[in-house]
Amino acid sequence: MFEFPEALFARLPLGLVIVDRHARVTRISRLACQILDCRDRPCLGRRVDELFGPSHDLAGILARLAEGDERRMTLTVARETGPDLELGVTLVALDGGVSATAFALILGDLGRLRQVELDLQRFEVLGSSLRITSGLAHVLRNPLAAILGLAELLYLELPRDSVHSGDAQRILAMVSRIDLLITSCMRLAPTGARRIDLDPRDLVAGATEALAAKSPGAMPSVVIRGALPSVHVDRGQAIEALGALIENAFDAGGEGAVEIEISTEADAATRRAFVRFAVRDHGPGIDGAELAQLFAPFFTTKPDRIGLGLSIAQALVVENRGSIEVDSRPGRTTFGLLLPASAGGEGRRE
Amino acid sequence: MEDESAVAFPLRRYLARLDLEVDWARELAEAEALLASHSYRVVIADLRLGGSHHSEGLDLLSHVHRHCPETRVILLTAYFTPEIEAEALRWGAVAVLRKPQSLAEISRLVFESLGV
Repeated sequence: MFEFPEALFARLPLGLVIVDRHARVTRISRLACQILDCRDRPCLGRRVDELFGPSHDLAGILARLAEGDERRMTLTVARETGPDLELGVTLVALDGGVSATAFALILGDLGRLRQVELDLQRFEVLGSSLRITSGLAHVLRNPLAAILGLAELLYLELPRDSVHSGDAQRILAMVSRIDLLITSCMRLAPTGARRIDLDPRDLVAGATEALAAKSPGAMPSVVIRGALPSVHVDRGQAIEALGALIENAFDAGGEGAVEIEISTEADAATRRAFVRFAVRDHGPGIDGAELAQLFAPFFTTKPDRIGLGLSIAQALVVENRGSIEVDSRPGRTTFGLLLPASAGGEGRRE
Repeated sequence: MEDESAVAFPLRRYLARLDLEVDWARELAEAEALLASHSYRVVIADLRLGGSHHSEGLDLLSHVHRHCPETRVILLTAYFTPEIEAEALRWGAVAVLRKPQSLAEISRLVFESLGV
C-alpha cells in the first residue's frame, strides 16, 4: 500500500485523490473534497466512479495504466451545491507494474485556471496601457501649465469690457477639465498603498460619508453577517473603491434601497481570509456585453460620465490585494468587494 | 528655474505685475550662478527639467539649503507624488505644487513666503 503523510495531505493546496488497485479512495485532500462536493459524505473507501460519475469510466482507465504511466483528460463533474465543474484530471500509476497498487488523481479546476489566465492577460494589456497613460499624463502637464498661465495672464491683461474675456475664461475651464481627466487617468496606476488594520465598518462609514457629502440622502442600508476580522488595506484607497461601488449602485436606480452586506470569506486554495462587502442595487441589471467591459477604462453607458470610476476602483482594490466580483440579473446586481483580512484574523470584532 | 519658456513667461509677467523683481534661469548651473551673484528671497523651481529623469529642482533646493538658507523655495512639478513632496519638504521647501497650477495660487505662496 502506498503511504502518504497525513499531515502533508491536510496542508495540500491541491486537488489530490489516491486510490488503490480496486479504484477505491484511500486518501483525499481537502481541496479535492471541496471540488468533488463530497464534504458531507465520507469519501474514503468509495470507488472513483461514484465520485466522478460512472460515464467517465475512470476505474477502467486506471486498470489499463502501467507503473509510471500518466494520462491527462478533461471531464465535467456535476455538483449539488454549485454549477457543473470542468476539471483537468491527471491520472498517474504509482507502483506495481500493470497490477499497480495505487494511483494518484490530480485535479485542476480548468474554469478557474482559464479565468486566472484571462485575468493575467487582461492585467498585462492594462499594465502596458497604464504605463503609456501615466507617461502621457506627465508630459501633458507641462504644456497644460503653459496654456493655463497664458490664459490667466490674457484674462488679466484684457480690458475689463473685452469681448475676449469670456474666451479666456472658457480656456481656463477647459484646462481644469483636462487637468481633472489627467489626474483621474493617473489614479488608474495607484502606488504606495499604506496598509493598516482597520475595522470594516470604518470603511463603510468613510465611504457613505463621502457619498452623503456629494449626494445628500444617498444612504445605503448595512447588514453585518457574523463576527468580522479587521481588514489590512490602505484606508483612503479602500474607502474610495467602496465609495465608487456604492455610488455606482445608486446610479443604477431601480426600486428598493442600496444594500451593503458585510461577511467573512475564506479562499479554500490559499487559506487566505477576506472580508466581503456585497453592494447590491435593484436596478435593471447589466447585460453580458456591458459586463465584459465594465472595468475597462473609458467605458460608460452614461453620456455625462468619462467612465473611469470602476476602473479606478478595481486598480485600487488590486493594489490592496483584493478583488471585485459582479453578479447581475434583472432587478438585482451585486458587486462583491473582497478585501484581505488582517493576518491571523486578529482584531476580530463582534 | 524653468526650461519651458511658455511656462516661465506668464509667471514672470504675472509676478512683475505685482511689483516683484524676477530673474529666470533655464537650467541648474544658470540658477546656481544667479544665486551666487544675487540675493533672492524666493526661488520657484521646476522639479524636473526637459523631461529628464533627474530631479534638478531637488538639487537646487539642496544648493539653496546649503548656500542661501534665508531663501525660500517653492517647487513645481508635473511628476507629483507624495514621496517627492515628503522629500522636498524634508529639505525645507515651502511647498510642492502640481502642474498645472494657477498663477494666482503661485503668487499667493510667494507673498506668504515673503511674509507679506
